[in-house]
Amino acid sequence: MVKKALALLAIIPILLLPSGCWDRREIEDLLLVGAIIFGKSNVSDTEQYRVSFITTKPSSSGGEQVGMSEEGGAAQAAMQWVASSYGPTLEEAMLKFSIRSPRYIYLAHNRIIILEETVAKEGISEVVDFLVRAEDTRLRNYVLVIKEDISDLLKSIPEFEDILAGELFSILETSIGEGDYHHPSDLNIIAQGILTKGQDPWAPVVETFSADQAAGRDAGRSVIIKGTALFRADKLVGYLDAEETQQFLLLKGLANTGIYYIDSNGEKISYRYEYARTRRKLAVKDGQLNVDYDITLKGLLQEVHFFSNLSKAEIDSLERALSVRASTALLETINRCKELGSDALGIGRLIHARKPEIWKEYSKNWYSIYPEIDINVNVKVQITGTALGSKPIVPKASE
Amino acid sequence: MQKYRISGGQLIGMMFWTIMGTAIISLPVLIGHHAPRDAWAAAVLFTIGGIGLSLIVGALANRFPRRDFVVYSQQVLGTWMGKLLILAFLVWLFHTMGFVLWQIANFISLSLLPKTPIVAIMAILLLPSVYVVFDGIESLSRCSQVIFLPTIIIIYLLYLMLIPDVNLENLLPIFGDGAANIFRASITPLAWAGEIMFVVFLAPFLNKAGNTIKYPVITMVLIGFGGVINELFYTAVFGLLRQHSSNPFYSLIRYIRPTAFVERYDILFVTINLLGNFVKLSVFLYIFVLGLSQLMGMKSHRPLTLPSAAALLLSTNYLVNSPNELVAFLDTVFPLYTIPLLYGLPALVLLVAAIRRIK
Amino acid sequence: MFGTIFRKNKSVSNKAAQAVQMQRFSKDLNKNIKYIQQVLSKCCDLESRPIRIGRNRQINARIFFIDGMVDAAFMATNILEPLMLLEPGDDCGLEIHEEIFNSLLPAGTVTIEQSPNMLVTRLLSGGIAIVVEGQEKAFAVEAIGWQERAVEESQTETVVKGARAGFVENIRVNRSLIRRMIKYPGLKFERLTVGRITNTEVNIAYIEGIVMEGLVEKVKERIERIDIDGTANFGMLQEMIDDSTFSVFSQSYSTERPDRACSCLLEGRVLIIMDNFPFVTVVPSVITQFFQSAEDYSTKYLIASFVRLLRFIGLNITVLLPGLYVAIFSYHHEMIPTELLKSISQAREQLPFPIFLEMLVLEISFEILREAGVRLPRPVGQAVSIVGALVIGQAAVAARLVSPPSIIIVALTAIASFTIPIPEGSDAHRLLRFPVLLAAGAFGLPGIITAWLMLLVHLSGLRSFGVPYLSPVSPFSLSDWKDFLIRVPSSFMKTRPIQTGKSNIRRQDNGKQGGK
Repeated sequence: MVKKALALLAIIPILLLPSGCWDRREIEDLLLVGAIIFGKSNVSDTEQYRVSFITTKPSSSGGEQVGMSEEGGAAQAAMQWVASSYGPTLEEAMLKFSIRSPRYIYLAHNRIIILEETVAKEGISEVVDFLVRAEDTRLRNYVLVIKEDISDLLKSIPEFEDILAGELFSILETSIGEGDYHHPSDLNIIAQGILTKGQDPWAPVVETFSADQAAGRDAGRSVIIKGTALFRADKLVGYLDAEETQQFLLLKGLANTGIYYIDSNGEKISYRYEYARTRRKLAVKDGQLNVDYDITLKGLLQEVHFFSNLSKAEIDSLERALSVRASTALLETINRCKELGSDALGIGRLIHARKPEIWKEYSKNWYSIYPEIDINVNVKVQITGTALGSKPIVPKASE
Repeated sequence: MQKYRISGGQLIGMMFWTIMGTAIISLPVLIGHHAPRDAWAAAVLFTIGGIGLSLIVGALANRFPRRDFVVYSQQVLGTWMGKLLILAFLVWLFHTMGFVLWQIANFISLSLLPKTPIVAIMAILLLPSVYVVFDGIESLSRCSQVIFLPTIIIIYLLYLMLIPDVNLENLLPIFGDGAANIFRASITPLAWAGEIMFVVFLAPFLNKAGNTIKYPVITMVLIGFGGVINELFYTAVFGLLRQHSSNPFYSLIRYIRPTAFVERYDILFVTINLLGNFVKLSVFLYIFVLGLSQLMGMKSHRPLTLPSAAALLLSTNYLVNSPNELVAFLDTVFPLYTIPLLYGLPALVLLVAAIRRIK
Repeated sequence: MFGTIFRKNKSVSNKAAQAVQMQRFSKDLNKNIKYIQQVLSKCCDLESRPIRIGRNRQINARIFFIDGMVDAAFMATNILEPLMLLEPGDDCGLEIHEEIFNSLLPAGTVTIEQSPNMLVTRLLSGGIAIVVEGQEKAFAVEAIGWQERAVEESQTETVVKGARAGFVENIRVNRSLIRRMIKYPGLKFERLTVGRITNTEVNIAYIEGIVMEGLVEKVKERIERIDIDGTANFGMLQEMIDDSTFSVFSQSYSTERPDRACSCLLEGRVLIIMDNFPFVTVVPSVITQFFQSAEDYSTKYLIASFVRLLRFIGLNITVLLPGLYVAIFSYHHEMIPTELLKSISQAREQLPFPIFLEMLVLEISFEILREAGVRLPRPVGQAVSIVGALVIGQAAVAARLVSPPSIIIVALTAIASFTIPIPEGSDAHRLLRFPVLLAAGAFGLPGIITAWLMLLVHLSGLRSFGVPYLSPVSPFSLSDWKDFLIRVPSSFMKTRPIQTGKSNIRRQDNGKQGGK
């Protein structure tokens, strides 16, 4: 009796096989979306969401893939498929793709989310909520903001990767260890920023520009990442340019290397730091709240053109000069943040964490108090060496 | 009934996943609801409560070595009272099993097989559990032992991988949520910890009788450790966002930074979780069938296996209507009757046995 | 084929004894002779010759032997010559058979038979039967002179650095091969007979004092319980003495190498040796046998451990890889890196079949090729199967019927299945990959998990002669892990495996490395 029942139970899986099973999808039926772009536009007099995809279109050349790099640009353009769709709600805009695409929309391999200024200015909380809720997207997706119209972006040709999304992703990823011109911000950071009072979201900005004519190719457009967008809660309030982004990232402790240079007698001395440590301290002085940034930089002199020897005194004075330069730049950026009214630096959160009782008062109208908070920056520059060269290469003084 | 002996290690292996299996899925939501930043403190309370219950349970098992709980509780409390309470326990067990099965199937559906009907998922989940319960405690304990060590190593590997994303500042200010919230957050976890009392049913099978206290305590410590780390990580990585995720565990594993070969780890961890839940489901089913057969004075539990499983499958239809309803239920109603039953029953038996000096 | 002939069929054995039964020899020589000739009627290889024992006494007797089975020279010099040319003592009278036995038969193995049927059996085992006038007993002298295979290297278990001897069909030779390796009086061989018609000799070998308690009794009991006409193949017997006949996994394993058999004896296991069968069966057998091979002990421990781990990986690949491939690429596309997904997606453009069907067909075709390859004559076999696989695979890919990744997966799986050192294990696992594949096709990864769990549950409950199949994993025994997936240096192998060697756990003294 028991055996019969077990046999019945065993038959069920076998019966399921011919039916094709509910979840099975063949790879070739998937539309691999690499990047999603959200915007708003006016279509037939109503404001609608515009959702655009940048996807991979596997080339159906049939048969084995022999190297296809000969054609360069044209072939790469064929690998990528971009499209936009409009709808009153985000979900509807997404689903509308199915009227055109013969494949299932598959978001799990998506890596980039781009927010257009149109939707960023109005408030991204709807979009973020949609993305967090969607089953396919991940919190690890990098978020970018784009100022200009996306048509240029959609026409851009990736220079190294096969699709634009991969290109953007790689640019962002390489920055994590390498430089401080930009740093990726993912959905987790954005979402937390929206939710947490005292911490505002921020995201790098993507732009297109005309590729170099000298490359010999047709002047298509390529992408670069330049600058940072700052938000207040869920609304875009302004941008930091490339210079300011450097300082911003240093303040947030995300920078790994960066350059400062000073002018001395018409010559530029450049200093590259390889190690940066950022600490924040909170102090209450005379009833006033003070935030102190203590930043330590350690690095090498990369361009030292005219000093004949580098004695301790000279090194010290260089260090001081560089510290001043850095502090100034950092303070400028901090003021710019205050101007824009965005607490992307997370000052409020710092107060909440360290001095919760003060935060209780401040949190009620934080954005008016925020510009008044006294923020100081102390930079300590250490020159650890002069790279591979010692004495500068200078033509010998003619006798 | 007690031909086969299990070792302490096997007992720990069985009990660990019995509690952790769905705790890892459901508890973070409930804790985060009340105390997002100090969730780890709630986990600590959960551990303490669990250890307390383990002591009671261990003492009880030591007092009646090699005797079936069903039998001696009737002796201690009187036949009718004993039978009644055991029956209440079995009803609780069946009901809980129902929505546990639903929870597991829902998690699988959410992460791996979205379009498959839940009934099909539940059927294939039940299949190995029915087989192992049918085979008996020997198979069950061995399977659990095999599954235990590799799965917890891999799960803790998960946390290692997330260390770069931990932002400890998210945990500050410590105790910022308020003691009241922390206590409130720990109520449902304490109900979950009550499941450690299943040890009284398994204790007769232990090979070294009379030394039962240390195994449930060790298990609780392991679980508590895991729970505290879990909550720490959820808060540290996600901050306030954890309250907005319907399944923080799943969001966490999806967040792992892609590595060279395997870019996305969520399926690996869902698989591990599925193995752990197999143990959980099997232990639940086994205890139910064992208890029922002992209550009815049957010699073997085997004939009851398949009918119980079938009843379980059918009942889930009526038990859970939607996940939100389940969450609300778990947050409010579930602890109210679970904690008295799971903590009270062994404590009562122990107390009365001590008073009446029954050995 | 053997199975149908040697089924439990009482009528067959009855027919042979339908003639008049003679329980004991009679004093009348002619009656005895007639009886033997009747029993072995229509056997053209039965030879017989009348002789007279004693030059002077001239007692009538008759010699029977089976042509082709006896050594003629031996017969002439050691039996005929003394019997015919020498003289039994004068004072023996009726006890002449004593005299003949003690003085006139200079041969090693001589038995006195009282039952004619026993005599016939001895005759059929390569003996010479001597029936004497006036005696109610007869003699049987063993004089085996049949042709058999010399001891040569084992074909199925080859090692690079190890002895080249392998068991042969003759049970005595096999016994001697084992005795030569273990010169210890505690090495016992017990004799049993199996099969009513075949009367096959079966030996149980064990080392007293080391062998697991109760094992020998259990084995004897199970073999004695077998009641069949006979078998020419031990595989059937293996199935019959298994704890659980229905399992895919066999609970005993066979080896063709004496050195391996001896190390099993030293671990406390029991060998079952069957006449006419060059493989020796070892019981009990648990999961560790899937990873151990004789070669491991000839190489350094690090290398041996590495190879063992490779086998472990190979075993898992054999069972799980096709299923995983199907599951991941049909259901769980998120798991693989984007680039991999893109390249496989390109490879699968415009293919007619879904992955699941493709893998199923490919796997079945491969099994067919493999089975066919076994039957091809040796020189041709290798070439044909390689060519077959390559050509068919290439052609299928070129015709856009299957994708290259699928071929790679099938090939990898097949090769991995050869890493399992015992044929029982590799057969079992090759079979298991099909349910896993089916489960993967139906439910993706949860399907594979379910199938794997069912397997685990089955293994958890399996026992081999009382030893749990999954030891040393569960019940967990740390000391047994030193020879499981890795091999620790020999001086650390101080104890026997816990389950089988419990009665005498220490193997060597506290490791004095190097010379002792």
